[in-house]
Amino acid sequence: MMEKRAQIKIQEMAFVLVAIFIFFGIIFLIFSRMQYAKIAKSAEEVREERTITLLRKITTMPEFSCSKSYSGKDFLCIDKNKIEAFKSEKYNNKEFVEIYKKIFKNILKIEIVKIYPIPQRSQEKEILFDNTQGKNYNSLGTYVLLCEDSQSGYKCDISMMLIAFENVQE
Amino acid sequence: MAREIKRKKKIRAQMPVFGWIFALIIGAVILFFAIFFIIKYSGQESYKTSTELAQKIDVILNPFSSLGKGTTVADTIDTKKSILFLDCSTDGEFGYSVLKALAKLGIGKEEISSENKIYNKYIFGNENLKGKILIFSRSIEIPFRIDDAVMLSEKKFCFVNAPKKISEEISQLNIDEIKNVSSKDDCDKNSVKVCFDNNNCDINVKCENPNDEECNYGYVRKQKKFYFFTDTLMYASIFSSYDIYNCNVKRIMKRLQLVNVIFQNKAQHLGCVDNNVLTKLSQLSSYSSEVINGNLKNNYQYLYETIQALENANKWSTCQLF
Repeated sequence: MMEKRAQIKIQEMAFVLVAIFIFFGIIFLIFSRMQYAKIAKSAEEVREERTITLLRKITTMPEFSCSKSYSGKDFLCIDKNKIEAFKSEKYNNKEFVEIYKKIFKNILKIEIVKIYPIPQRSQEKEILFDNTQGKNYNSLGTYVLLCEDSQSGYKCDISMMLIAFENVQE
Repeated sequence: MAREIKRKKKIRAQMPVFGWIFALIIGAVILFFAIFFIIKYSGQESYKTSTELAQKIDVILNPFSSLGKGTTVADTIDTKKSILFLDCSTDGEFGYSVLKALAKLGIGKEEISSENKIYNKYIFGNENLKGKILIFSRSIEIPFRIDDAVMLSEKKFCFVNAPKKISEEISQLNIDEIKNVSSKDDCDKNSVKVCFDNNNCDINVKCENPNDEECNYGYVRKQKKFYFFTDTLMYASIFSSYDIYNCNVKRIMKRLQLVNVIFQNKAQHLGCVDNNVLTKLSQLSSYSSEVINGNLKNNYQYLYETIQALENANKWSTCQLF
């Protein structure tokens, strides 16, 4: 009888200990999950802020920004001739894209969509950079002038530059 | 019977003692794990906060590195007790600046953040920065804008007898951290004295261009080292450590070569046949290669002259590339 009671006591103790460890394990899992969600949210906020500040930076990059010769039109102005040059170098030189991926960091896509004059085709756009394959992303945009130099002078269209950044949260 | 009762009493006496010991041991184990996880967590929290700080400083610096042509900007940030660690590398096509941070939480273990490699900025400064930090930014035009030099410093500067255009530029910024004076005696005691006509200051600038109103190229002598510069790099050489300055100069030259390719392609697309501009672009690319190989000392004057020649050639060309 005594032996049975002693065994039951020991078993109770063992079950209580197992239950405590399972309980702490569940607490730890919930806590880890909350921490992960907090970090993911923080990372997404930083990416969004970075993308907003990069909108201006990309328009002032010498690879895309309008030349001095466009007299005064260098504020958020993109040179279409430079875009053509950039794209042709991109197609001829695969390393070129890899190099610029590092400059663009967490940016997945840069495209410029013509808004005014109203485009004749459904959407006239220039895609500078596209690394969105299989990724979830959000886009932010700003209005820019897309200017082109030609023999008859230069002309500018109002466009929207869209930058896509990866969505961190699931 | 009496024996049985005595034995039962003995067992009853032993059981509670064993129970207490067992509870104490388990309690100690649980307490140990709790303290272990708290220490681990505080270290991770510090690492997370430091990494966030480094990322946010990167974001804060974005507006300072997208100024546009011919612009100078200055402002300050206060990191309180947190420390920023700056470095630079020329690896790869662009090289990168490295920014790390150590956020001072006041409690628990402190961990430095992971390396934040910044490919799209040229950050000049000393290796460690703390407290109120001056952010001074100026576009680098050689002769077309390459990017902006972002200069960080925790010290105050006193420019003594600077050329006219530099004095005007500094005065327009209107910040306490950079003062413009005509005599060394007018400087604050704890400020770094930058002299343009004297060799007895903390930093001595020697301008080698013929124009007395500007300082287009020359060298800076600081802590027995020579920093050769053209244009905006004069400011960078004043604010930066030797290694970070030279590293970023090489990075700028690498970027110059890539932008050169874009301009040459643009010339082809536009059907430009002005060989003068294209020749000067090639020369500039060639001098930039020399600088990348560490020959700035022998080439800074030629670099400046080629920049001027290219700017003139483009200005008078029927097909202006920039």
